[in-house]
Amino acid sequence: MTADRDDELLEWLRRIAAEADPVPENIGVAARSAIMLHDLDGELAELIADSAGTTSELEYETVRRAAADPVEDRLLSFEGGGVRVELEIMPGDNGLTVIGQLVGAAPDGCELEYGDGHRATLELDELGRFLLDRTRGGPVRMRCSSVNGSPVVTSWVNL
Amino acid sequence: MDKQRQVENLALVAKMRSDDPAAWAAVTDRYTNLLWYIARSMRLNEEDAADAIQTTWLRLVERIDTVRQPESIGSWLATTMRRECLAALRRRSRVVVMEAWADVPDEADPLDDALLRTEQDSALWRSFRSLKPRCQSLLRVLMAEPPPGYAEVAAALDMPVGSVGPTRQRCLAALREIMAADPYPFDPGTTEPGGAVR
Repeated sequence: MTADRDDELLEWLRRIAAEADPVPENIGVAARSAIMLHDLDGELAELIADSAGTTSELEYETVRRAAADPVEDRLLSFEGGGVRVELEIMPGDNGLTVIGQLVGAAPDGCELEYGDGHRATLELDELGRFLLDRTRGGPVRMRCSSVNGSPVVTSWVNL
Repeated sequence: MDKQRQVENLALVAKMRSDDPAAWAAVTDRYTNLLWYIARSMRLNEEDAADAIQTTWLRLVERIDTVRQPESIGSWLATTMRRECLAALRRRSRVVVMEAWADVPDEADPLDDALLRTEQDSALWRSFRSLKPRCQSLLRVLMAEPPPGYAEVAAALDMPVGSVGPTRQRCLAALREIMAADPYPFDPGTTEPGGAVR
């Protein structure tokens, strides 16, 4: 049967790939620890727009734009829990520069959380803006409180 | 196979919602390999693949209480991963046009330099790398362990579920033709549709 032969040939390829290109161990370890970042308190501020097209609605348009102008800055918007977050990400030689603005958030206690659970305080100016220089890529989310004090957390995004 | 997995996934998601670490470990063990192969099929390097995979897992954690169709979390993960891979490629300033990423040259396939165990394995991999990019992408995803369901493969590659099987068959037939023309003397049985492998 051709189907059986196909299974065998694919099995041979699978064995080669497993031997020569296995999943790096750190990826499996990180995946297992991701559950530690299950947030039960914060209201979610959803990613509502991404010029890099990780939101399905915007994918087609952004792909076409990317084709015309592949090195543009990336723009992200989050909204939820009474808070709106706008991010502009500019790639540079020494990492990423991130300019952000939080609207409807309490000025203190805003944090940037990385995919390994590490957190950094965000210093906001009087307009709710912040600047991060030489940031590394990888998954991040923002935590803050809305002006009425309830915790809000953005969706994860890979910078 | 897809049906049985759906039932299992439904039970696992229910346990994950009550923060059962064993259920989470079961799901990450089952799908991390598939996510890695999706990244590889889309030509991501190891660093970009690691970030895209971790983002995909964190998004599942974030959505575990609200994800629709919990029986299909494999497809959900594959779709999320595909979008993250496309975004990563775009950030690397490569011009990526919809459906055309398979044409992006793959300069750094680690398997090209890997010391494969036998000459026969090397010859098979050389033949595989001569396939059209679209076939290489499909077969790379199908190589995941445990083998992915067709719905998951379709989600990973943004293709109709019904065309996964026929395309798989066509790509493997094309691979056999390349093998038959290769200087390495494959066992003739390997390269004929009705023959035995090795």
